Amino acid sequence: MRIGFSTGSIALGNVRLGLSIARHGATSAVELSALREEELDPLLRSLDQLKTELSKFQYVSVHAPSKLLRLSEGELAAKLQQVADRGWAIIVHPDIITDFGLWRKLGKAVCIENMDKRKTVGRTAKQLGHIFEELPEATFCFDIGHARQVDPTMQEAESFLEAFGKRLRQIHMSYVNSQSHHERLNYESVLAFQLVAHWLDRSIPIILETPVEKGEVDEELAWVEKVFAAVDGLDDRVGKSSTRAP
Amino acid sequence: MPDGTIDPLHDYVADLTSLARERWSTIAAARADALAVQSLLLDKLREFTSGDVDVIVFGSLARREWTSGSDVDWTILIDGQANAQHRITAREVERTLGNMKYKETPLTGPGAEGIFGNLAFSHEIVHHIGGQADSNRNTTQRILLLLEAVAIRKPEDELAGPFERIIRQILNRYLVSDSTFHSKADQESRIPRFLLNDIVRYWRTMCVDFAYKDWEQGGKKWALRNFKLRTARKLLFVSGLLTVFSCFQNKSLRRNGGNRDDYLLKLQAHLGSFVHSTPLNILSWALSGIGLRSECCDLLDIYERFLRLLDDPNLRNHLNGLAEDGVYEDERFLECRELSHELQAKLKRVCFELDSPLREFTVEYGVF
Repeated sequence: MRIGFSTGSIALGNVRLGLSIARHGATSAVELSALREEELDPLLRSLDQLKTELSKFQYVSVHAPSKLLRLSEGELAAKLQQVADRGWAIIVHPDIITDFGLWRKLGKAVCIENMDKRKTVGRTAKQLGHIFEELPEATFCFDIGHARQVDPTMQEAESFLEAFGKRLRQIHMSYVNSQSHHERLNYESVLAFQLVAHWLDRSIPIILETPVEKGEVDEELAWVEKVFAAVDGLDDRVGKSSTRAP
Repeated sequence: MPDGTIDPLHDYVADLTSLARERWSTIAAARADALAVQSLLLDKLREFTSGDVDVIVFGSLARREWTSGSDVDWTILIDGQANAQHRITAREVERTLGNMKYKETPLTGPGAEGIFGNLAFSHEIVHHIGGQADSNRNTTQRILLLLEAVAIRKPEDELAGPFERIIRQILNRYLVSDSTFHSKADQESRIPRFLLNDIVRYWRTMCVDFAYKDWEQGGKKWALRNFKLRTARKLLFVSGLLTVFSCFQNKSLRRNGGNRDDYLLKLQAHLGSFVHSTPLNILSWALSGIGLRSECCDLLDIYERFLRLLDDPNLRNHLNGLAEDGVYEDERFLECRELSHELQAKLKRVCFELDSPLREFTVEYGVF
């Protein structure tokens, strides 16, 4: 299983610090965060200098800015071309896309993420379907925490995986609270994620968007193991004494 | 049982109009008016909704059976942090509705019972199914959310507010907490008895509350309430029964050895489609699917006449003014009563007399 952290969740815009924490433990994947517009240029400029740090990871992706205030959509897409050229996934929130033609040029590097309940697009499989119709080559970043927040029964999560499972390139995992803040994994989130764990191909990289300190990395990875415990036939499935347990 | 599931956006009543002996013009007009009022409300009440708050309407407006005497029964449904501001929102919704008109007639708010025109919270509705905390009010809110409720929200905004989220969680509770339900669901599709029992319980609660209100209000408005109980409320119960019946011998709902969680979510999605349909459409879908189109048309004929009567302000005023002890000498009440007897006889024939999967289901699950 390729698993790792988003640098943004552990060190906000400080990618180097984020990488220093993210490389601890059994991590083999990383997402470089430029969630804020002003973080993008410094990140892109540093990619070559970060070659050594990044060599530890089998999988690298970049999270594109989630809001555009100064950059135009065209400027953003043009800047991200160098990420696509490296063969990395570019995680994109669907609500920043207005001109699909710009993003179509980036091909399968564009990895569309499903949204939390605050957003007006991309919350449901039906809504995301319209995006993929416009971007036939785009891949899918399944944010299982967002899907749980939108529908705690996980019916919508299953709809996402049924509809876009073949496009799945990356998984975001965290506990998304009612205020749409990403928190560390907990009993409640793992209980929900287990319901759809059998849909998840274990070769798909998992990026944790959970705010952890250096000493908490292993503990967080252990929670992820629990998500897959039932699929793996292990006996430490969370909630096994509940009515939902087999 | 018809295979597959209902399409909540489809008008199954319209599919049957070519077979109808009468024109169902009142049914069609009631549907069109209800959609128009919903659209009007969307325009005025959208500002009161958020990811945590929905304005829900119930009753004839949600059933798409709007007639000239219909009220707007509404509730603020909350799924999020407790916030004192919600009470102010409720007052503002009430004030806004008080200033609205449809076809030059002011919209009327809910009655004084307190079930509507109020706040409802997701935790009570989802967690208190049965037990001491499941009050009459809580049961009513929960079952009406399933049987006759619509969120004032754009259809494409599905899952943007609490309504759809709570519906799914209520259905999930009925399925997950039904312990014998999922373990044996390998070959035949199973009947969600927990849900069925709650729907049956609610129908009996409505009947008991009818007698309670009679006692409390000294027979006031007895005749009109009696007429509605024997027709619209009964059909609402039947639509709940048919929702559960849709699982009976339904090949598309078989587990077939598949994953248990997938099976429960499939069933949850199936039942959710019925939540977004209407009693008349559920009736039409279910009876058409088991070859009882002619009987369905008979029922729709009766319902057309019911809505026509209800749409007559003179009759409503007349019934509202009738004293309880004189009703059985009143010709107009007896006309209404006769209509309700026709509905009862037809439902009895469809559910108990004609040889069909529905009869099998009703005998097996409907009573004991």
